[in-house]
Order: sequence, then C-alpha cells, then structure tokens
Amino acid sequence: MKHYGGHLQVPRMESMFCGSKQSYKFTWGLEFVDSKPNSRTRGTHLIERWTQTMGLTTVVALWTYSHRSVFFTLLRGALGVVLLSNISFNSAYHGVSLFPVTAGLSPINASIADQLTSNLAAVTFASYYRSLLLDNTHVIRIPPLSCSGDDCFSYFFPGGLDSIFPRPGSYQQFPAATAYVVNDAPGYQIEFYPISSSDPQLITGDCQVFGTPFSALQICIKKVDSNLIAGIFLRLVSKWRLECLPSGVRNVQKRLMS
Amino acid sequence: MTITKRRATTAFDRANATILDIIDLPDYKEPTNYGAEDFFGIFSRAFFIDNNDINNIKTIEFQFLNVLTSFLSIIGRENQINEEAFHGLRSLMSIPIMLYNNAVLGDGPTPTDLGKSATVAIRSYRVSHLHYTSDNRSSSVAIRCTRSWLEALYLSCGR
Repeated sequence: MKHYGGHLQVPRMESMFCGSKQSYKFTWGLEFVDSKPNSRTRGTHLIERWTQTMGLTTVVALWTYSHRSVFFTLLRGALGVVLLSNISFNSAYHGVSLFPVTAGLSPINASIADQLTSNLAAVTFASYYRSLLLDNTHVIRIPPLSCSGDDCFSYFFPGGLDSIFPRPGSYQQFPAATAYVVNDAPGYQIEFYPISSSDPQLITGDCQVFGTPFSALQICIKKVDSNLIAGIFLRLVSKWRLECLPSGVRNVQKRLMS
Repeated sequence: MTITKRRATTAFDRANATILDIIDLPDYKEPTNYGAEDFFGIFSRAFFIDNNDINNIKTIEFQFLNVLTSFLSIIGRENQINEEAFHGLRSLMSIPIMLYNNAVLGDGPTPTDLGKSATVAIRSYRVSHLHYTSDNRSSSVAIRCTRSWLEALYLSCGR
C-alpha cells in the first residue's frame, strides 16, 4: 500500500516485559493515510474519525466544565450581592416580665400652671426650652401626617420614662434585659410646617405680650380649623423688631411691629 | 401646627431612658381641639413679670425672659427667617403638651385610656433582606417570592 504523505496520530498499546512483569505501554504513533479519501483503508478511516471525535468531545467537555464552573461562581457572587444588598437591621424585643403601670400623656391642663408657683413654671420652660426637641428621652421624629418636605417637622411625644408610675427605676430584676417597653400608651404627634397663602393673618388680638417695657416677647396663636398658627415677635429697648417670623406652625407671615 | 393624639408601643433604653424605637404606631388618630387659651394660660404663668415690683429683675421669670429675648435677638435678623428661631418657637409650643398635663405635672384625675402595662425586654436584632416600603400587598408578596427564588438559586449554585 502506498502512502502519499497524509498522516494522523493514533494510540498504540505495546506489551513490555520488565524482568518477570508484563506491562503495557500506551503510545501515540503515526498512521499514514492516502490523500485520496477513497483510497484509505476502512480501519484507518475509523481510527481517524474516532480520534477526532474523542478529541473534540474531550475539548468541549473540558471547556464546558471549566466555563460552567466559572459561570456558576460568578452567578453565585452576583446573587450574593443582590441578596445582601439593601438589608436592614430591625430591633426585636423579647419580653421577660410584664407588669402593670400607668403610662403615656394626657390632654393639656392649663390649670396646672395656676397651681405652680410662677417660679416653677419659668424653671420648667427654662429647663426644656433649648433641648426639648433634641432630647430623645421625651421625643422622637416620626413620618408626618399633614405635611411633607424640608420645612415639615414631625415629632412624637410618647411620654418619658419619668412620667410612668410606678417608676421603672424601682424595678431591678432581670438586669440582662436592657429595654423597657411601654405598651399601647397615648401620646401626641406634633407637626410644624409653613403656612399657606390662604391662611389668615395673625392680628393683635391673637397675641399676648410678656416682659417689661425694655425687653418683651410677643407670642401670637390663632386657631384655624383643627390647626394652630403661631408666631413670636421680640421687643428690645425702644422698638419692636421682627426677630422671629411666625412659623412653625402653619405660618410664614411677615409682620413688623411698631 | 397640627396636634394629633395617637397610641404607641414604645421601647426605652433601661440605662439612659432614651427612646429606642416606636415598636407599634397604629393608624388610629384622634384630632385635638386645642386653642390659644390652652397655651396662653401656661405662658402667662411662666413669663409673668410684675412691672410694679422694682426688684423684678431678681426674679427667675425676668431672668429667663431676658435670656430668651437676648438669645432670639442674637440669632434673628430683620426680614430673615432663622432656623434657630423657628426651633425656639417649636419648643415653646411643645412644652405645654409634654409637661402640662395630669399624667406628668398635674395631680388631677388621669384619663382611663393611659397605658396600663410595660415589659422589661431583651433587645436583639433581626436582619431583613430586600427591604421594601410598599404598603401594597401584592407588591410585598411579589418581592418575597422573588427573594425566595433568588435564595433557592443561590443555594443550588453552590452544589
């Protein structure tokens, strides 16, 4: 049989003797084939097809396996990021002891001020004036009901621990329990926001002046439907100055007192 | 200014009395009917100064008002709205609500709807994924289903 230069590699198994042991050597050998397809022997043709198929399958299998592994690793990483993104930590409270108390806030009772000495009333205001809304023993910010935007301030007053009876400090059991949960107690939500152009103006009849001829504070409050409009004006020495515009409450109304 | 009565379950820190959380704040809302007289009755007491008393400068009321007006004059300018002044106004209007009621300063009868129980509790943390704020029930169900599917896919990828 003539061979015209074409060749391919085929596996060959050769038996070998090393001392008394017989072993097999697996080698790759060259098998020459004709360049003319029809002139090749059938055995040579099958060997060629088998080798090509097995080689391709092996390569595809190796490629698929390695890429699938990479793909799943990347997919797992991406899912991990998705599942761990935007997580939030919520506090949970496991009650260990329930006991009866009286807690929460009741409606305003202006007559309490009459029962206090004026000294004591002034002291209460002086104590809380600067810090009340920043002191989270008594107040916490919550989402508003009546307003929105940067000028909307919404506070909730649940009543502090100092207004609970009996006092929580007298309860010394369960030192590992670091929280004290007051259940279903009344409080007040107060929302402050600017007035609108349709709101009525504050007039002198809505105001009261407190102080001396040299230094005085004018506070104005007007009830509008179920809301209140409030403002503060200031007098120093000889003239009224507009120091604090009516706000807070549903008003940003410019008024210069004279 | 709008004042609304609400009911809440509130957690406090047992060590420093600060509010930790509003655990439950139901939708129940009760409008209030406060008027100017409720506030002026209290302000007139806290800011009362007897101008016939030549020694009124020595009173706590005078000193407090003097400090307050001086503070407002420093932080405020004509025709300029100052956030600190607004903060002062908001504080003034909040003090009567927080303090001047029978549950805190008064010794009169308290309403029957005050809170009746408290719990000493152990605080822990719970991690929640894919936090959502939608109130829409179908949206929340869809998000939970998606999250479950993603978690299942994540676990199957590890095998």
